[in-house]
Amino acid sequence: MARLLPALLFLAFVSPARADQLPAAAPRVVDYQISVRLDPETKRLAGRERIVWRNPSGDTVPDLWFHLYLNAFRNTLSTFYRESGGQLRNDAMTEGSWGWIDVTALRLADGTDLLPSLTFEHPDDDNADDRTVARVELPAPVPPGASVELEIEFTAQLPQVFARTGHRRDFYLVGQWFPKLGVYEPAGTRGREAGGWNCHQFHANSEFYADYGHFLVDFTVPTSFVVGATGVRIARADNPGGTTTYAYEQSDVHDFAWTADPNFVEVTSRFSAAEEVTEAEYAALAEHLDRPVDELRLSDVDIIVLMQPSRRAQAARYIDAAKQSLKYFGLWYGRYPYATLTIVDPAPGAGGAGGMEYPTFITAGSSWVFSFWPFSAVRAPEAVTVHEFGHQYWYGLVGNNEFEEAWLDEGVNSYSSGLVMDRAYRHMADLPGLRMSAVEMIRMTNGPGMVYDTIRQPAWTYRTPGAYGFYAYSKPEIVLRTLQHYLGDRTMARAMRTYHERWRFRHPSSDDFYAVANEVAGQDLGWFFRQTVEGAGVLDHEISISTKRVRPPAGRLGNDEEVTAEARGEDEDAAAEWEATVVVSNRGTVRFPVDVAMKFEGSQPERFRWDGQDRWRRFRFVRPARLEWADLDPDRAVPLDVSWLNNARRTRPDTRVAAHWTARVSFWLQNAIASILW
Amino acid sequence: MTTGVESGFSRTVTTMKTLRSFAHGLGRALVEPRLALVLWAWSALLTLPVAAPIWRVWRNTTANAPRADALLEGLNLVAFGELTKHDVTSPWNLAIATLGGVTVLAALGQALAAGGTLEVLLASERGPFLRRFLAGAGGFFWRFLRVFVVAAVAAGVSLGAVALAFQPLSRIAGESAWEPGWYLMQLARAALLALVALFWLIAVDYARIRLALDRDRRSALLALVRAAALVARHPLRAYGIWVIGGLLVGALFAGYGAFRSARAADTGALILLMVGAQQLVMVLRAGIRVSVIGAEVHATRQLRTAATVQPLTPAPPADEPPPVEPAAGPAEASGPHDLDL
Repeated sequence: MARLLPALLFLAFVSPARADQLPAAAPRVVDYQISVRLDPETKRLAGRERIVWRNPSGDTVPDLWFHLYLNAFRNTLSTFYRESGGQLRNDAMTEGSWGWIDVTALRLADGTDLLPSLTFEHPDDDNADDRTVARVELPAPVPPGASVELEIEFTAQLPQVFARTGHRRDFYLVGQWFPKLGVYEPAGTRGREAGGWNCHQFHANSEFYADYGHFLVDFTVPTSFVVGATGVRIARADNPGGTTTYAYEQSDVHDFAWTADPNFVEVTSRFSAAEEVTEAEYAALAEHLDRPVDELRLSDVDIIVLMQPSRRAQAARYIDAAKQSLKYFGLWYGRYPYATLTIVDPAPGAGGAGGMEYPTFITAGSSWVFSFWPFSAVRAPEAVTVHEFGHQYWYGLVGNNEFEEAWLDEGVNSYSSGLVMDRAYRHMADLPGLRMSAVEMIRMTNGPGMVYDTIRQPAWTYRTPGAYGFYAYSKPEIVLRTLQHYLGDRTMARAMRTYHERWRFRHPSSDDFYAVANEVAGQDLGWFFRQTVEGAGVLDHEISISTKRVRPPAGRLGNDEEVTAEARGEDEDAAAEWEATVVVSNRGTVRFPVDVAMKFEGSQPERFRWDGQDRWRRFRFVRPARLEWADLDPDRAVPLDVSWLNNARRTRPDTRVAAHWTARVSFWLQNAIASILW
Repeated sequence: MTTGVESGFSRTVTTMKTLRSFAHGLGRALVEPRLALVLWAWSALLTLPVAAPIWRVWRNTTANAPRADALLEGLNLVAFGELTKHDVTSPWNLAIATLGGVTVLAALGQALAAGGTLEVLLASERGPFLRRFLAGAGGFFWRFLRVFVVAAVAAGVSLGAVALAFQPLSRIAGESAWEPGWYLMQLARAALLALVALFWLIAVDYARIRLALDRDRRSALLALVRAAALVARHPLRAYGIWVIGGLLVGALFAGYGAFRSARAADTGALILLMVGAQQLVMVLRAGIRVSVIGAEVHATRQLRTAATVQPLTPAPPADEPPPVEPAAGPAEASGPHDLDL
């Protein structure tokens, strides 16, 4: 019975799935009720928080673990600062602009003071100076299925924004700003043998992980400020003294962020499913996914875009990207279940707040120059909007642990949003020489030297910040694109849809993803995932070819007489056939099957399959005609191959490309030399 | 005598004079077409040693690789990315090192090229072209090189000062909520830096012209200072000649761009045609440069002639008519004129 308890408790929290296989609601593990006031002079928040946590496990839990993310910016001793040097992506911390959060009161609903038992924990690196994780011992443990209610008061200092959250002049992006509970993972969750808190310190290369629940938040800001937040605005009240209190509410999410700026220009639109999706599209998708059409229908969504005044003209780009995302993510993986989507365009100089996701609330990011050609032809605003929206699905609705398995949101999302970009826009930029698809762009980041880390490893353990970007985002996209070619579009689409449906509002691990893929594909793909996700190797197929004439045998052939072609009166060249040698090899260590195409003079191209299991294999062909070329992976079906250039060879050299580009490069060099010389 | 910055109402006159100077320069370039050919040939010769390793890299990487053929259609970032996946450092290092050496040669050679060009443009007698050119190249080399070095130092200092002056302005613009302000500030900074750099380039030209016209063996610094003063006093004229030259070069490259975009050079014949067009552009560009120098020579002479010469004889008695002023016109090519322009 004890072993069944977690499962029974889980079912008690999760509403039974509707016939369309999407869960109707998330388990209500935690309720947050927060009131906060922003002081625009000091850039501080003063907040009161009421948390109700329900024990989702079969364990009796004696303590609670919290994230205090803002303490990452408290001083130079934090783990975040030590790992990053005060820099994230291309933004640096402003000297002296620290951020922190202090819990000033912590008590149970009955008034029991818990603050004396609050301790700071450092489960990842033993950095005693890091205060991003706190633990509080409960006077009475929480039995399975029971709840505990807490009242918290806190003060938070927002830093000048460089790492997602903070202020810049009058612009505020308030994320990871309140004491947030970690995730108590019952036994069996993500492969755990025993239940326990999963609450990591805030690292330079990590993001977040929290449980689903309900948020009711009110924040008070100067009346002149235009605001946006997670969820739906349910109230607004003007206060004496020039402030206004806004209340927002959202269920079935695991985070809450908000923004304020007196300069925002609010632009609204509506995603109308009836207008954006045709019956023919539903029908085609239903056939593709083998689902009834009614299961695929989408809902209407209100889109709110908060633009900077100088970029107001770009609002249409954001809205279009949002609608494309709502459509394709919804159709492919499951309808977007929320009523609103808010998109924030960060203020100039606040780019560190851009490109980030929160439930129903994303930050994009652009620049004034993108209103003008040629920059307007680069789809950067669209790409960031599609990517950040995609996180509503991967991280938001499917709540993976971004600390330990970042690829399950970043990589899976890069793959999904890349598909949306391909479908909606085709090219990432509409400029000569820069017209490339999402996968072509991503493949440029892969190379023979990318052998130091693996996709599946904790986010803070990568060799460099760049390695985190590659292994969490780019390589998983390449891996999933390769898998898609291998399984076929339809099987891959069904696998992804099944994965999303099954793990919506839950916390999957990589093994859970593999299990769904194996199940839908009807085969064990462990060999693939072990090499590509768990392993550090690369795949670099290479081909080399050679040809020679095969002359009739000559010499001492079984009797005492030596035979030559002349003696036989044969014309050597006329009688000769051609022997073509094709050597396919793998300079990397990842084994993967691949097609080989060849063409002989005077005939159509032909193909055979190499299973890719050997380091190299030699194939010999004797034909009347000479081999012209051979091409390994002619369909470009293995994006994982780090180099496509060495996948094809021809027997007759063609120096046109060399001549063309030597001439072009030399011309510009000659101009530079002439500018000095004359 | 023209003093100070031209006033507004004479701008039209100055513009006409500038156009006339350029027309004169163009005429000189057409009369001495071999000048353009020599300058073109010189640039081509210096480019060849750099082109050789570049050809090798491209040939080794693409000759047997059909997947590189996409590059025949033009710039393709994806294909370029593929080229860099495997190690091609060694030949690229050779190309870069060769380019470095060639750049040094070009920097030294520009004094020779200027000397040869001016000797041909200024010489009153017509002897064998190559003899005139080489005589000028060798005769003026050290003076012209000194002018260049001094000008480079002066340019570096003044560019640095401009960049420094803009730093606080850029910071203020960056702090502002008005985003276009930062971009406009960067544009203004780039424009001012370009004007300052151009100032010194023009001053080098005028200093060399002065030294060549006057056969002046005095200080290069003095020549440069006087040339800079001339440019500062006649900016419309000085910059105007270069603007006209720049517009012509711009039109040249626009024409080349239009030609290139008509059809990709993806066959042997079209590649040869492309190379031919490129070298034609270089010859014409050299011709425009000769025109600019010729125009500056013309402008120098005009400005000298227009300057008032102090009479050496005492003032005539009141009842006698005043002495006739010298007629305006181009000065003689030889003989020093100790005029403060």
